[in-house]
Formats: sequence, C-alpha cells, structure tokens
Amino acid sequence: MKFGKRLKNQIQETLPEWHDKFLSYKDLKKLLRIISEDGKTEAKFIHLLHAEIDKFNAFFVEKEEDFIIRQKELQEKIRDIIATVGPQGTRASDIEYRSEIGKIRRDIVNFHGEMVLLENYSNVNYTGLAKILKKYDKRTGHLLRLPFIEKVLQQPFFTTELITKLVKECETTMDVVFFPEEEEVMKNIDGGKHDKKDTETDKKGIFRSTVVALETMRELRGGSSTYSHLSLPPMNLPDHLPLTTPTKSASFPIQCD
Amino acid sequence: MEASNKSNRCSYFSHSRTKSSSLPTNPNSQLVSIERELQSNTAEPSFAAHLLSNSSTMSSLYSPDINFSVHKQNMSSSSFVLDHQSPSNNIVSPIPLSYSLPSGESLPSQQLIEGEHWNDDAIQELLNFNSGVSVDHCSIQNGQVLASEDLTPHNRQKSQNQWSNWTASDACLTSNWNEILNDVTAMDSIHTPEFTNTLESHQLMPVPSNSGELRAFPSHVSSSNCATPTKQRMRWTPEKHERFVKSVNQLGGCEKATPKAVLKLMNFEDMTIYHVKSHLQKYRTARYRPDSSEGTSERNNTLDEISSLDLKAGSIGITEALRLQMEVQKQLHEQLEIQRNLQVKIEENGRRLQMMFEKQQKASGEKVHLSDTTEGQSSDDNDNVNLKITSNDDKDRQVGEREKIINPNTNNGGSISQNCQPAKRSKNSHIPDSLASK
Repeated sequence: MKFGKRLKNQIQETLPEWHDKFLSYKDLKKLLRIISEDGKTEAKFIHLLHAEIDKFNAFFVEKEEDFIIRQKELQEKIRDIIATVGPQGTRASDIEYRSEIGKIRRDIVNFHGEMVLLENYSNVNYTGLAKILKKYDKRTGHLLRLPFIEKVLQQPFFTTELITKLVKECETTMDVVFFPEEEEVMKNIDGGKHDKKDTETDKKGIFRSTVVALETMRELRGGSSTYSHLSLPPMNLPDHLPLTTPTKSASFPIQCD
Repeated sequence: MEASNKSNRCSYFSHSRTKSSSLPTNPNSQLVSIERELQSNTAEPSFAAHLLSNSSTMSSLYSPDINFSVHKQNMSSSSFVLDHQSPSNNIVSPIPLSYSLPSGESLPSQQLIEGEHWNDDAIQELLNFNSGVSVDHCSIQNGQVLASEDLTPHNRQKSQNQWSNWTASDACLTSNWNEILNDVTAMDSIHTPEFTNTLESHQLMPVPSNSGELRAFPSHVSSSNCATPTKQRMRWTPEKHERFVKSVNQLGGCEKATPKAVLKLMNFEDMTIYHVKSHLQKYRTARYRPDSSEGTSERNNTLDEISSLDLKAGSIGITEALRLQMEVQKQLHEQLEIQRNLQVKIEENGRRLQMMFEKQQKASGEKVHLSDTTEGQSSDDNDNVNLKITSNDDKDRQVGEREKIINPNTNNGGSISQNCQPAKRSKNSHIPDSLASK
C-alpha cells in the first residue's frame, strides 16, 4: 500500500503530460485481488502488464528521441551565442550576452532535470513492476516474477544508458555556461536582489518534481515490513539538499547473520 | 535432458569458453541444424519462458499494441508464456511447475511446436550448457534466449545500429555475455560472418535483450506471422541524429528536406520513412520554436526582456536557484544510477542462484533414491543447502516443491522451506551484506 500511495503522490507532482504514463499499479493490484481459479483474471493481469510495458517503452523511446534533438540544439545555441553576442563574438554585446546566457542556463538546467526525471520514470516503473510481480507470485503461487523481470531488465525503458550519457554531457555543457568567475563578479555587484518573476525558473515544475522524486526514493528505501533479500538498502543523501525530511540515512539494522 | 548429451556438449562449451573461435566437429550436425533453424525466421524457437509452463503464447512480449490485439486470442488460456515470438511458438517447460494448463484449451500452435520441439530442446540444452559451465560468472539464465536465435541478417544489422551505443552496466555481465555470444556467433559464422563481427564488436547487454527487443521491433517486419504495423519502435541515437542533420543540411535545411529524400540520403537500414518523418517534425519544432519545445512558454519572453535590463540583480538570484536545482537533479541522477545498478545486481544474483539450483536439481534428480536429500537439509555438507541460500521467495517455494517431488516419503514438504529459511539466510555468503535481510 505504501508504494501505491507514494507512486500516486509522485505522479501528482510530476510533469502533467506524464501523468498517465506511469505504471497502473493500482489497477494491477485490483486484478490481483480478484484473481480466481479459472485464470481469466490472470490473463487480464498479464495482458495489462504487457500493455504497460509497451506504454513505457513507447513513451521512453519517444522522450529519448526528443532529448537527443534538444541536446544538439542546445549545444548549437550555446555556440551560437558565444559566437555572436559573446565577448569575442561578431556582435559582442554584454547585455544581450548575459540575457541569452541566462536563458540558456535555465534551459539547460531544465533540460537536465527532464532527463533525470525520465530516468526516474524508468526506475519508478521498474520498481512498481518488481513489486507487483512479487505480489502476483505470492498471490497465485506461480513463478512469474523472475523470468518476467529478466525481460523487463532488457526493455528499452529500463536500458537508460543513453539518457545517462546525455545527462553527463549536459553537465559538461553546463560548465561552459556557468562561469565560476562570473558569479563572483555578479555577487559583488548586487547583494542578491531578487526579481521574483525571474527567479521562477521552475515554470514546468521540474524542480519540484525532482525533489519529490528524491524524497520518494528515500522513503521507499527506508525499510519496510517486507524487507527481504530483494530489497534495496537505505539511501545516503547529503545533508544540504532542500528536502523536507531528514536526509541522514536511516540506521537500519542490516544483519547478515 | 540426457546426461550423455550433456557431457558431449560440456566439453565443447568449456572448450569454447576459453577459445571462442574453434569449433569441435562433434556437435556439428546438431549445430548445423540449429543454424538452419536460426536462419529461418518462420518459427523461431524461443526459450524465453520455459521456466513457466505454457500453453498459450504471447507473441512479441513487448510489441506495440497492434501485435497484441492480434494475439489476444492466444491469451485465452490462463497459462502464460514469456515468449515474444509470433504465435506459432510454444515451448514446453522442462521444469515441473505448480501451474498447470486448464483442460480443454486448444492451442493453435501446438502441432507446430511438436515438430519444432527437438530444436527447442537442442538449443535449450545448448543454453543450459552455457549456463552450466559458466556458473561462477554471470551467465545466461537457464533457457534464456540464444544470441543469434532469431537474428536474421536483417535483424542483425539492426542490432548493430541499435545496440552500438549501449554500454553494459555490469562489466562482468558483459564480458561473459560476450564470451557466450562468441560461442554462439562462432557457430553461426559459417553462414553469416557479418553477424559475428557485429555482435562481437559490441558490448551488448545480455543477449535476450537483443531478441526481446528485436522481436518487438522487427518482428513485425521479419516475422511472417504478424501483421506488419507501420510504426516500428526503432531507437534513435546521437549518431543517427548527427547523420540525420547532415542529410537534412545537404538537402537544403529543415524546410526543404523531405522525409523521403532524407531517408534515402541517410541510408540506414531499419529506418523507415515514418521514423524520419516524425523525427523531422520534432527537429523542426525544436529549431524554430526552441522555447516551446522545452516547455517554457512564449509569454515569458517579455519577463525575460524586462529582467535582462535589470540583469545584474536578477541573475544572482536565478543563478543560485539554478545551482540548487542542479544540485538536487544531480543527486537524483546519482541515486537513480546507484539504485538501478543495485536492482540489476539483485536480479542477477537471483538468476545465478536459480541456475545453480537447477543445475543441482538435475544432478540430484538422478539420485532420487539416495538418502542425501534427507531431513538434514540444513547440513553444510549437502550442496543443496548452498543452493537454497536463495534470495528469493520463488526459490524457497521451488525448493519446497522439488523436495516433495524428490522425496515423497519425507514429511518435510513445504515445511522445509519455512524451517530452513532462517537457516538459509544465516548461511548466506553469496549475497552482499547490504542486501542481506534482517
């Protein structure tokens, strides 16, 4: 039940167009409850599982494609900015440069965030699948979980290597756009006056989404009644993050008898 | 499977594990037939799900919906097969499971399967051998798919294009998969040298991914049984996109370039005009309305304008906010990577233990009447005990069931599982501390 609630919560906090792309955990659980002898419900359950995976794959691959395109465009744009309005550019203009850089920074950070959210999407769905399969096995006595999860591991939506790569590239690109020296200069100029509207970098709710994702992850890994060999250990998060609950990892007694 | 066959193959595989190139002639005839089987694409055996008993087939496990509806009728039976093949395939599980086929179900593909069965068995055995031999490394799950199994030249090319960017998250897994792939591709090299090259040159994720993936994607194209949907889920990569952009530029830019022309220029196998079309559309959107493609709406431009005049003040706040956002995002990313690796390892562990168990099961199945497998299940001397150090409830149940099968006379049955559980876990030396239960 905990996972279901957390999942629901996370979905609510996530980007709107992603809402129906997540695992229909509740529906699957409902099916499990009414599973009968004749196997019809089981077939429905399995059918739904497959449909869900198709859904994940389709969404994931599409998003991946988008990101590939955007990544390139962002890099082009940065090059462009530096080449035109940058200090050594063809029509160097400090004001324009800063404005453009500002925009690009925002774009990059959001882009990075979206990609990470996609990774999170992948993981949340995987976790949900693993859980529901475990429940299925428990409920029916069948051994679906293991082979099924093997398949899942190889699905496009779970093979996130490319996204990871894009994220790393993005972080590198970011170094180009966030200049440490410049920050110092900026700081000295003004004591941190905020333009309210302008600091609203989280227009799409990406930041909020990532915070929620991180918190949810930590909560899910904080130990449960069904902690087993299949469970993940508690998370270790640094303290300085703006998360609501304490970030110190739970001192969870992990015995290895 | 027969022990004699096993021993024959055993030498081949242990041999080939060290030298991936040489092929002893002994199993040749069967290998040739397997190759032939592999070449044909009509009724490719799938070993994917024989862990589950089956009666209906689920074609293209992760194929798009259109395939799904086509094969829906096959789902009427309550048993389930993780067979991402076209409906003609049906694998009989060698492992007795509690799940049984409801009577009265007729299976459309039954006959075909009977005929194919020997191939399945042969290849399955081959796989069991792979897994049996490489037990101490990460290896193919019992009965999981053979590398070249349904990789026609078409598919293989696809695999080259599609998988070339993948890096294995687990080096061990990869290296062993590669070894095993080499075994397999060596077999196939007689017919398709390019396949050998393409597969060997890549760090591929476990082979089943290929088949699973490929079944989903090209199965519509290559399989004769499915209706061919127009939309293949090919996966874009930065390299492909690079090529795309070059082609578009060559043709005079986004506006001028037509999908057909781009497709021709790109000359990528397995890319259809639909892929190019949709990609072109995305590309155009990204170029000409960069703000909207990233979600920031146009209305914010005026705000940006205003703020740019007051930039010095504004940007500090922004930069700080952005930094914070980045920090959180980076953390999430890192944690996700860690989590994912853990999840993969957990399953890998489970799989390994499962294989060990099954191998042991087969061995001890031949000594049914010996008193080794007595109540003293928790004795350290018994190899079975180690195998019962499973990390999986599934296996506990399996153990219980199999003990029943082997020792109908003992009254332990299911209770063994329960009794032994704590014991099993205490002897747990295979599972890393962090994953051990309390």
